[in-house]
Amino acid sequence: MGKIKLGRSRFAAVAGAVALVSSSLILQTTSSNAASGKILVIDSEFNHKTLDPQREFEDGGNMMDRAIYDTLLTFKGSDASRPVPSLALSYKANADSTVFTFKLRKSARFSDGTKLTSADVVYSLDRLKNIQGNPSSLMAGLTATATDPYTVVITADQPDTAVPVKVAGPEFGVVNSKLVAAHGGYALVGAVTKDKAENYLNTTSAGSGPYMLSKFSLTTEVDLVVNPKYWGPKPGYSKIVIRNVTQAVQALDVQKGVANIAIDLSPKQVDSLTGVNVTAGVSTTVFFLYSNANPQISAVTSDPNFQNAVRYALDYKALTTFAGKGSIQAAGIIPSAFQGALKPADATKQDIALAKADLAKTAYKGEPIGLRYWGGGAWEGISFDDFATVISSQLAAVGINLKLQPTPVGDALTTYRNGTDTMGLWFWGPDWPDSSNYSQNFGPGEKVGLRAGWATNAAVTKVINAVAIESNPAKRASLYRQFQLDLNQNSPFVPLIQSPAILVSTKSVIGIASNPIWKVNLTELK
Amino acid sequence: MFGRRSPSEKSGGLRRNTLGNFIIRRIAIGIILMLGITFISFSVTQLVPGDPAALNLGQSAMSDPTIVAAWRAKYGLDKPVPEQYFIYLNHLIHGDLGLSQQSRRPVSTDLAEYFPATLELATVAIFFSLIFGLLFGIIAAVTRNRWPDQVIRFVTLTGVSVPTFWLSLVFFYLFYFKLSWFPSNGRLDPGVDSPSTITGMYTVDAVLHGQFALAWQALRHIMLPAIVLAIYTIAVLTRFTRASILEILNNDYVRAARAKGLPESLVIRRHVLRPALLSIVTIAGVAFGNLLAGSVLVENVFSWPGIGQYAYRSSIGLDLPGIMGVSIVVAGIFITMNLLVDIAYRFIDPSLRHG
Repeated sequence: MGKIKLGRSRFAAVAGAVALVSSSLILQTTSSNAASGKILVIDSEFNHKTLDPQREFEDGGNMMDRAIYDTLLTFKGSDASRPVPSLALSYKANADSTVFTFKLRKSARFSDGTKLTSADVVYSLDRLKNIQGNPSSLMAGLTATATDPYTVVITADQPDTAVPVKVAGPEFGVVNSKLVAAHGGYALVGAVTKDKAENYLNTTSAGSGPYMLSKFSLTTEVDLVVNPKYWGPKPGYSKIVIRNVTQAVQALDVQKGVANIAIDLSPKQVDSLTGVNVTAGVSTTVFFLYSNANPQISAVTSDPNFQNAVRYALDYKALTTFAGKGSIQAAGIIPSAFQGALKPADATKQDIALAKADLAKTAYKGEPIGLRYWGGGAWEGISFDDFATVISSQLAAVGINLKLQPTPVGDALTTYRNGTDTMGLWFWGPDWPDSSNYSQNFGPGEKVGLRAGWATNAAVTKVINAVAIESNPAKRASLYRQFQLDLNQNSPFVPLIQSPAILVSTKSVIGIASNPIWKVNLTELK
Repeated sequence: MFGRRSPSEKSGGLRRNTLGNFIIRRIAIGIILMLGITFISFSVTQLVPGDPAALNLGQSAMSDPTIVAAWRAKYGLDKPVPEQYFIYLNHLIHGDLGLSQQSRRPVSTDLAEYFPATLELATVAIFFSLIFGLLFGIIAAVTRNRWPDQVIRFVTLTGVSVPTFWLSLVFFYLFYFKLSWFPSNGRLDPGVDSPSTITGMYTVDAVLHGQFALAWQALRHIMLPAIVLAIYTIAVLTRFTRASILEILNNDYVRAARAKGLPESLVIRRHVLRPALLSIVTIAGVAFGNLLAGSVLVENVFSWPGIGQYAYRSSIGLDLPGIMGVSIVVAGIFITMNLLVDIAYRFIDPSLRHG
C-alpha cells in the first residue's frame, strides 16, 4: 500500500474543512444554549435523596422543593422565624395554640391548571403524616381537616405554637392530590406500604410553585423550568440548573461565571475570591460539646464540676476565629435568629482560674477522656477533625487530657444516639425553625439530653413544661432564655459556635439572601 | 454432501471446541467467584458497626420507633442476617439487585444509569493509555539510557507517583480555569439535554441520533477527566512496555535479525513487538478493569456521574444494596477482563490454543 501524500493545496483544503466543521459544531452548541433563555446555574454539593416533598428532609431538597411546591405559609429572604402568607392568605390560632385555621387563596392552581383546594392540602399533610418517612415526625400530634374548599384546620393534640413555622417547611408542600393519587400516591393510614408515588414525584412535579421539575438526578443535575400556570408573579429565570459540584470546583466556576451561585464555599475559600458578590449570614447550625452526665458511662464526665471546668476552659473567641468570618459564639443552644435566643452578653466566657478550680474539685487525675466526633467530616465548611484538635489543645491548658476519637459518621451517630460516648462534639440544625425544637430535644430526659446521659433536672423540666403551653410570645421568649441559662450552668452541654452561612454569586444575580431552611430561595432571584 | 472433513477442518473444529470449552469453564468459574464475592461483600457490610438507619433517617425520625421499624422493614433489615443473605441471593438469581437506600430505586436501574458513564470515560482513557503507553514504551526501550529514555522514565515515575485527586484538581485549575481549553465539569454544558438513551454513552448516542454538535460537546467534556484518568495507566504501560521490549531485545533471534541487515523498524515491529504484546495485553486488560472500577476520585472532582460516584455515595450512606451491586459489577468487570485477556492470549500466541 502506497504512502498517502498531501500536497500543500490539498492540506490547506483539509485544514479548512476541519476548521469549518469545528466552528459549525461550536456554533451549534452555543446556539443551543442561547436558545434556552435566561438560565441560572447553581453549583451545590448534592445531599438530597428525593424531591417528593413529603419524603425529603435535606437542605438541598428544601431548596428545590421550595421552588416547586407552595406551602400554606412561607418565609421571606433570610428570615426564618416569621411566617408570611403563601397559599394561605391568613390564619388564626385559638388561645391555647391547639387549633389553627388557614384561609386559602382562591387563585392558586397547579402546573397542570387544576385548582388547588383544601382537599389537596389535607391530602398532602395526611400523606406526610402517614408515609412514615423522614419528616413525618413534623406532623406528630397534628391532624388536618378541610371545613370548606378553601379552609383548612390543623388541630394539635397538645398546645403547639410552632405550627405556623412548621407548615412553612417544604415538607408541607402541597401536591396535586388527584395527580399524585393517580400515580400511586396514598395518604391514609397504611401509606407506609401503599404509597408508591415517590418515583413519579422524582420525574414529574405536581406542585403549584413558580417552577416545575424538568430533570432529576441524585448525582449530576436537577433542572427546573418556569411554571406557565403559576398564580403569582413570574419568576426571574426561565430555567434553573442546579449541578452537583465539589467545593473546590464551585470556587472556580463562580469566578469564571460558569455558575451564577456557589452554595457551599467555606470562609477561607471565599477570602481568596475576586469579582463576585458574597452574601454572608449566620447559620442556625449550632456546634456543641457535651460531657456525658451518666455516671455509668464515666464517673469523671458526669461530675458537674468537670462539666464546668470544660465550660470555662474554652476560648470561645478563638473558636469563632477558627470557624471563620461570619461565625459567632453560640450564646445558648437556641440560635440567634430564633425567639428567646440569648444575647452575646449572656454567653459563657473563658475563665481559666475558675476552670482549674472546678477541675480540682473532681477526682480526675489526668487520664485520657474520649471525645467522639465525625472523623473526616465537615459541616458548613467546618472540619470536625480540626475543630476537635483546637478544643483538645484548649482543654489541655487546664489539664484535661482528651483522647480524640474520629469516627466514620455512621458509627459515630450510632454511639452518639446510644448515649455511650464519654464526650462528643456535634451540631444541631433545626428540624423546624422554632425554639421549641430545642426545648423539646435538649432538656433532661429528652432526645439529645439522653444522648448526653442527662436524665433528670426538675428545675429545667419545669421551664420546658411551662414554655410548651405558653402562647404569649414575650413570656415564651423569657422562658426560652431561662431554659438556656440553666443549660449553660447546670447541664452537660456547652454551646460553642454558630457557623457562618455564605453564598457567593456573580454580579448579575439580584435578590439573593441566605436562608437557614432552604439556603437560598430560588423564587426570589432576579 | 456429508463427505469426510479434511484434516484442517478437523483441527479447526477441535480449536473451536477447545476455545468453547475453555470459555464455558471460565464462565462457570466466574459464577462461583461471583457467588463468593457476594458472600464476602455481604459479610463485610454486616461487620461495619454503623447503623444504616442512623445515616438515612433524620434526628427526629430516628427517635420514632414506628418510623425506624417501617424503614428497616422496607429494606428487609428487620430479618436475621443469614435470612437477609439468602433472600438477597434469591433475588439476585432473578436479576433483582434490591432497592437502593440512597436513591430509593432498584439498584439495577441505578447501575444501568451510572455504568455507561464510567464505561465511556474508561474507554477514552484506555484509548489514550494504549496509544501513548505503547509509543513512549517503545521510544524509551530503543533509546535506552539516552535522553529520550531518561525523560520518559522521569515523567512516568512522576505519573505513577502523583495522587490522582491532586492531579485532577491541578489539571482542572490549569486547563479549565486558567487556559479555558476544556469546559467545566459534568458530561454536558449546564442545562443541555442529554441524547435519548441507546447505549448510555453520550458521545455514541449523540452520533447515533445524528446530533453531532452534542457529540462534540460530550467529547470535549470527557477529554480532561479521561486524560487525568489515563496518566497513571500511561505511566504503567510505558514502564511495562519498555521492560518487556528490553527483555526481548537481548534475545539471540533479535540479534540475528539485526545481523541479517533488517531495518531497525522492521526488527522492532516484527521480532520484538509481537512477543512483547502478550504481556502488554495482560497489563492493558487489568488496567482497563482498574479504570472501570477505580475512577472514584476523578469522577468526584469532575462531577462525572459514574459508578465511582455511585460507590462513594453508597459507601458513605451505608447503602448495603448499593454497595453489593457495585461489588458485583466490579467483580464482573475483572472476571470478564481476565477472560478476554486469556482469550486474546490464544490468538496472539498460537501455542496456547491447544493448552
